Amino acid sequence: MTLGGLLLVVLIVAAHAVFFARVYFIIRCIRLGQGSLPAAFPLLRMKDVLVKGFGQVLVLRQPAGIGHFLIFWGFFVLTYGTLEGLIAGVFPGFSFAWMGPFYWLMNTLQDWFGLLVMGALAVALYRRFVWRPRRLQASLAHTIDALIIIVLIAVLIKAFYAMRIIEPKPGFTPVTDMLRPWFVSVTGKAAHPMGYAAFHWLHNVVVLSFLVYIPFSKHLHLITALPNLYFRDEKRIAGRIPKLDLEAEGMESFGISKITEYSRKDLLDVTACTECGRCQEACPAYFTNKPLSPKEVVLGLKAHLFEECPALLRDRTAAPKKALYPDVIEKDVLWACTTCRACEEACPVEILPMSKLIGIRQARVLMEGDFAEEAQTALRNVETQSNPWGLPQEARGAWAEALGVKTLAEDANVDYLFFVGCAGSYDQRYMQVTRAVARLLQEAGVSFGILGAEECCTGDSAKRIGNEYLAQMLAQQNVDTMNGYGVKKVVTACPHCYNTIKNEFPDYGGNYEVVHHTELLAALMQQGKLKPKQGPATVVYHDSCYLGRYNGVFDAPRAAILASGTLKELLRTRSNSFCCGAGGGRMWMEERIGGRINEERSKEIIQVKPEVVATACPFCMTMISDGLKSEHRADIPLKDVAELLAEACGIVKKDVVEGE
Amino acid sequence: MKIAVLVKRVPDTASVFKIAVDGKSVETANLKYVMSPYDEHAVEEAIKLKEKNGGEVIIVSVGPSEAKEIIRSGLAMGADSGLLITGAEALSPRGLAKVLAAALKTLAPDVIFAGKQAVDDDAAQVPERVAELLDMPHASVITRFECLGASVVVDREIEGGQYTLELPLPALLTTQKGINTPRYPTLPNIMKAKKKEIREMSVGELGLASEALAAGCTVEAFTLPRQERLRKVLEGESIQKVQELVRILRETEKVL
Ligand code: SF4
Ligand code: SF4
Repeated sequence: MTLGGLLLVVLIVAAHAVFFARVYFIIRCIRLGQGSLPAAFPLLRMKDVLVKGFGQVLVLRQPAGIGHFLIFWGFFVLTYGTLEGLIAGVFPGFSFAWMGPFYWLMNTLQDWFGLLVMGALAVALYRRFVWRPRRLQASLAHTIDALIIIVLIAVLIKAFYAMRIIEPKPGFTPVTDMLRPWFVSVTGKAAHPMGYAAFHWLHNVVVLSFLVYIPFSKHLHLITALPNLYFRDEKRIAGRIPKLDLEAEGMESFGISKITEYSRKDLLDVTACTECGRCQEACPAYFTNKPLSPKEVVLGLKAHLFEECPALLRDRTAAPKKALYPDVIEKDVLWACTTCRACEEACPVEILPMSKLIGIRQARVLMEGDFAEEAQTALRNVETQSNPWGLPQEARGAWAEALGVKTLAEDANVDYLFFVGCAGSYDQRYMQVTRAVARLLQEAGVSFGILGAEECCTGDSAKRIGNEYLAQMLAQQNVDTMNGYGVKKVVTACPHCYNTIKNEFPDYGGNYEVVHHTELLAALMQQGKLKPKQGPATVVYHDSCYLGRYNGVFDAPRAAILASGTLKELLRTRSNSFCCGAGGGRMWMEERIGGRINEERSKEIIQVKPEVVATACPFCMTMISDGLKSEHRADIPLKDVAELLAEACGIVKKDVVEGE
Repeated sequence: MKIAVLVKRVPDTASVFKIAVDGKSVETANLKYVMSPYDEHAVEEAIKLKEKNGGEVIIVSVGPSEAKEIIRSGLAMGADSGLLITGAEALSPRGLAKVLAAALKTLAPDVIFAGKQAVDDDAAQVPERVAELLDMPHASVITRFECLGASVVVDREIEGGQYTLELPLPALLTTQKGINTPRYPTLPNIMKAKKKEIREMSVGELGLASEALAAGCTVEAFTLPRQERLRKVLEGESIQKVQELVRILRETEKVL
């Protein structure tokens, strides 16, 4: 071994030592979390990693993802050459040539990918320093971080080409071949043994610096992103908030008040952030200038984790330097979240920023009783009258009186339970939607009944505000009532009820086939049981987060609209839909900071010049109605999909409006 | 310091009220009950005092045994124990005050808080009667409370202003809304409240003579406020409309 080889060995060992020490530290940090990483169904998980990770499917949902795709695969291809180069640095003359055709192929790919990656890097630089889209506007430290990486990779590729120019390898390598004459003309000769050695060293040193730099930078995601995809927590996917065990022996603390109370998966999550800012770009709170950015939430937690861990690893009971709340996550950050889940949908590595916030909310509410007073009033109302307005529970079924809809107490022998929800039972405007749904079901001959005064709030708002205790009581009470009547199928006119009954009631022993009213109505149309007449109106449909993004119901409301008019899409639509601002209990809190989310959304709606605006959720209806009013466009009719369909089916308006 | 709070179980005012067939009472079958809202402020003030000066808070109520739930919600806010006197819920304010006074005598509290009135019958006199029976100084409708050790200083709301009083202890005070924000019970406190003691005693155990509990007044009849509208539009010159309105209010509606 030459002296140079020895030096390289020392560098390789040192770089790996630093790298693995840091990785080990990060693993120990993650292991400070609760529980174990979810690992059931390894084959499905591997498939996820292949498709979403190696296939870059999530990354590619945005055009900028193409650049990442190239760098990602370029990394693997070029690593082949890097490895060869490193070994050859220690054992001069070493090569992978014995791999034959594969060697030829890899050399070819390296030549091509080198160029592609350089192109992607140029675009990355342009986006960060010239174009600067909002999601990439970051602090100086984060920008420098990005710059360092871009420069490192660029230098690597330059060195790579220089080496190949001087010492060609078998393969179809047009880029190198094209550069060679130019190189020769500049340097005056083709053979540069010294030059080769210099570039070889440069290449190796840069590679090793990169290795050391990765786990200390945002490029930690190179190590954590794929495991994060692998260990996805199916109990939490699609916004489901798992039931907390409130009766566990010896439990004294509920929700998250310390970073180590998060699950290991949560902690793995925060280490996997790529700082891409897609979540931030999608966040309605951030968009309206509130202090919440899901990206900053994740990065704040990551920094906090790494800051607290050294002390915690020495002593599990060490007092934290900073309080998770309010030092790391501030009050106005915590409560700004509408739980729209846009951040979780947007994240290319399936990080769940919203779930992190819910955990802290649970601690604020359950441990301290600390949340907005207006919301306290709403929840107290839910406690006494089982609806957030505090209207009499007895009057819950009053909307149905004139329509001849029976309660299950009167006749439990029906196919569907129509779970009406609080808004559908008490909100004057939404009661019309409830009646439209009921009339349509009657028209189509569906056998259904309601619970009337026996129905309770499902607890969606309570749960997302963080009052797990109240939410559990409500869920259990509803499940007991529904099971008591042997309910099998449920139709509901509220996406929040829908989501809770479908995804969370199973935790309480309530397993039902749940459909949203738009799904049932679309099916009835298809079966020819409803025969709407086509009308001329151009309808713009606003997707509800809890129906669309949460549960993937995009087509049914559209089918129902198409049967009665023409459909126009908003710019942000389907899974990209922009929240109305009412989810996560925000319906019951004042919106004091920044712009109003409902007004932003209403502006977008007004822009596309609709003749009618359609919604499929009581919260959306209230928020958009207010938004249209404040934009002075209350003249645009706002209707639920069911109301449009009722009109198209010739159902008498009086039935729906007055229920008489 | 021993602090007692008088609370009452009342129907949630949002309930749908129906008059019972006897015409003298309200049908209770579908009513939802809560702690009278002003009493929540009393409980909060008592707990704040305890947190500052130490001592214990006892929630006292007269009512059916279901009233334990209401006491329990006070315990969940942080009070220490409860005392429920049953068998006296039908009494008039006069008798009720005697029962409470007798029970409180056995507790000998330093401070007694109560809501300024209960929102069911709005009688607004039971706490004051209790104070008189116990020969205690009292202040009603307070919006600020401060304990100076042997005495307390309170602000009382009056029309267009307020005045400040100092009372020697023991004293009784009734709370008005602005005084504080009742806390939202935390889960650990809700759990603890389940294990706290609520002593139940029947009115008989207090040894009061039945004539002492006789009603000072009795209910003759209950009526619901009339809700339907007359839908009448008055015609003519303004002066005639006003005269007509006064005539209707005086002669037909008999409200003037
Ligand atoms: S759930 Fe919606 S409001 Fe909450 S952080 Fe994510 S994007 Fe923002
Ligand atoms: S949380 Fe996900 S979407 Fe947000 S910045 Fe990090 S990687 Fe990007």
